[in-house]
Amino acid sequence: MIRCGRGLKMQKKHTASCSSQLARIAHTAFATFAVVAMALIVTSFAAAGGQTEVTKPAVPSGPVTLTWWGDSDFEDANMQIADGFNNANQNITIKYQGFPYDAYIPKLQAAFAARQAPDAAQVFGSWMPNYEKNGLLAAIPNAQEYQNRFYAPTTAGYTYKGVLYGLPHEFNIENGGVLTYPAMFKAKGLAYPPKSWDEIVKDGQALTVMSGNLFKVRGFDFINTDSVMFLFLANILQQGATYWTSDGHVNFTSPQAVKAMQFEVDLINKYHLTDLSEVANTDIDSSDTFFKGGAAMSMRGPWVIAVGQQQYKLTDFGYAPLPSFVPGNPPSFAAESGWGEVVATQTKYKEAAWKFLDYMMSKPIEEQFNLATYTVPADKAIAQDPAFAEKVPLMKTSLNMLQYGRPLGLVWDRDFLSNAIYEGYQTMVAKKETVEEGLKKIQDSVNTMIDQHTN
Amino acid sequence: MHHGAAWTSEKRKRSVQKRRETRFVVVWLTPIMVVFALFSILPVFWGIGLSFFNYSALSVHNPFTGLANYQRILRDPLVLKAIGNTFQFVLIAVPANLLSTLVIAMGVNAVRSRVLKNTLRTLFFLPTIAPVAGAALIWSTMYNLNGGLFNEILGFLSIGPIKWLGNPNIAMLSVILTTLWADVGYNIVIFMAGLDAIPDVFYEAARMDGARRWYLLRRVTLPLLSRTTLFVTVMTVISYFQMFTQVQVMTNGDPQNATRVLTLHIYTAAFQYMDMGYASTMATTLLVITFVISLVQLRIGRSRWEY
Repeated sequence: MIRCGRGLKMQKKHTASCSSQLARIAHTAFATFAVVAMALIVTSFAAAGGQTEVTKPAVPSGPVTLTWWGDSDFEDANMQIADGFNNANQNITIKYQGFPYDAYIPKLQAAFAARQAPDAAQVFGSWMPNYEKNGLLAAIPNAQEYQNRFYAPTTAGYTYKGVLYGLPHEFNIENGGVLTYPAMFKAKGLAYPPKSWDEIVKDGQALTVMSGNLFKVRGFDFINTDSVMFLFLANILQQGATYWTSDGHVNFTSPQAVKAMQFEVDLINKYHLTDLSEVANTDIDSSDTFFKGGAAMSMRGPWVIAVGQQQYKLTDFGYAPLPSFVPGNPPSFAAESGWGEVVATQTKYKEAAWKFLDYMMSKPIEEQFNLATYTVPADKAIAQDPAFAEKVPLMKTSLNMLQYGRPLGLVWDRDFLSNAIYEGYQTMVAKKETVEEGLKKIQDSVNTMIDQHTN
Repeated sequence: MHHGAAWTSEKRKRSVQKRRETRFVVVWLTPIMVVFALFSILPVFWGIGLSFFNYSALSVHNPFTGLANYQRILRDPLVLKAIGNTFQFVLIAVPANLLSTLVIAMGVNAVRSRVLKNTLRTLFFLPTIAPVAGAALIWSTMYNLNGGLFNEILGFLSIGPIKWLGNPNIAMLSVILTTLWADVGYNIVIFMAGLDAIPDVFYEAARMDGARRWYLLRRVTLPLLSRTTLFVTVMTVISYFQMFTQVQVMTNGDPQNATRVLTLHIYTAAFQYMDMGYASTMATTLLVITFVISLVQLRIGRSRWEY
């Protein structure tokens, strides 16, 4: 017996009409499906083409509650700020919400995209260009007052077409310093700290400990997305060159860029100071390797000092200055804008939000935040205050370097840039590409990304 | 006349019955079909639509770019690498999965004790119910270069450590091993059900004709298991083309993009770089690839055996 649609039992002699019946049903179903599918695609086109603007609601009077979002790593410091402001202002209540870093970025994007943004948000400066370009952030009133107060790299990410849209707490420096164990240098009879890159290489080789083919102690570790990129860019700047073209694209194929990248490749392939074996290990950072005794020197930003002191409870490590790539030239470096505060355009409580920002940017509160979070101050007055440096002795190396910082530049997608350089670096170290070929590929992909954002 | 009136009445009854059945189906299926259309069908077409735009969720204006995103895929070495890695994963992991699960299913099925059989089936199925992210995290610690379980065992056997996740030639195999561990239980249970469904009469008849084990496997078991095999193959291929969690947790595409599969690249483009239009293009490409391969499989694997 063959069952044929609609529960009809058909004998062999009815097979022909059964088939035509099935064919009719199939054709009808297909036609219906095709019509529905076309309707859905047309609807998708129409909806994807644009979004309607949201009209601004009227400003209410009376007590105000401001929603303020931030990174949960700074929970204690931010709660302290919110409580202080709430106690001092009876009519304005700050409702703070902290999010883990990885969840915070998509959360913020989704909230702004859905026009459900918080009134104020603590954000990372290099995330902001797309928000600024699309009119999602309110321009800072009296911006002139702030321009001279902060270091240029700290406000660059919050500035778009000359307009300032945010105020920085932090100078995000990933250069200029290296984690060290002074005792290791002393044990090997090496001068501390090393004063040139030649000395760093020689000392790194002397301090390297191998177990067969594996590193027990890496002489100089820098294998993470931040350090690989910022060391490369710093070396270009220190040779007196730039990595930007006049039309807002990157140039990574200049002789200085090739020299800088070749040096980084040589740190692994020629001088054997570290390797790429932990690249795929998503559990740990290169600073964790250092704090576990797996490296004698490790290049990382000063923010890791707090990790070593509070998480690993270490007191025997130092933070030494990194010398210039070219002796005699200043140790210039590129820096992106770090943590700061912005106000959403759609907020109903702009005046209250500006009042809150003014409070956070007052010198005592700024300093309180920097000390509590171990962040390098964006405010020149705080950074250059000897009393501040005394409170954070291991940060002195970085504080002395701030004057050499240059804005990273408008890269639109900083993660794309660092990933492109990091992945390209691995390919060059593995000798699957020459340095020139690898840099050309990185340059092309980054410039394509820039064009996507500017066209 | 009497015959005509009875036939008309019978026809009217069937018509009423048919209307009742149709109404029942419409009332009870419509809500679930609406939900299905809204959350499963519409997003697919929405994604296809987005692939023709330079779309960012933050932008007010998202220009129509036509086929530019598709042309970009053809020029993007990272996407092509991701597609290659995805095919590499599928071509290794699927046969390994099918072979191992079939062998284990046949072995467990041959166990006479019902209690032991059920216990073994449960034990093999347990990894399937463990959260994939948690399992991947634990496996990545076992793969650790220093102090990881596997290298400790190798050290105990006086064998040098292996860079399980750090060597670009091995990393993908390490991820496949984890995937197989997490996944075999599901297919084992399905194969066991398929084996149970084969009537014993075929084996008895073959044995009476002098058939040995290998002959029984080739001429009786495998042919009569073809429908089950086709189902398992198609579902496993579809699932492995969409593999994501293990790669994101264990390697995040490293080292040197050796484990960067297409789903991970789609995720990176959509949620890290906020390039939703391009991510939708890659997702549509993956949809087409998976759809075509599934159709080919269904066509080739059509069963010629009925029992």
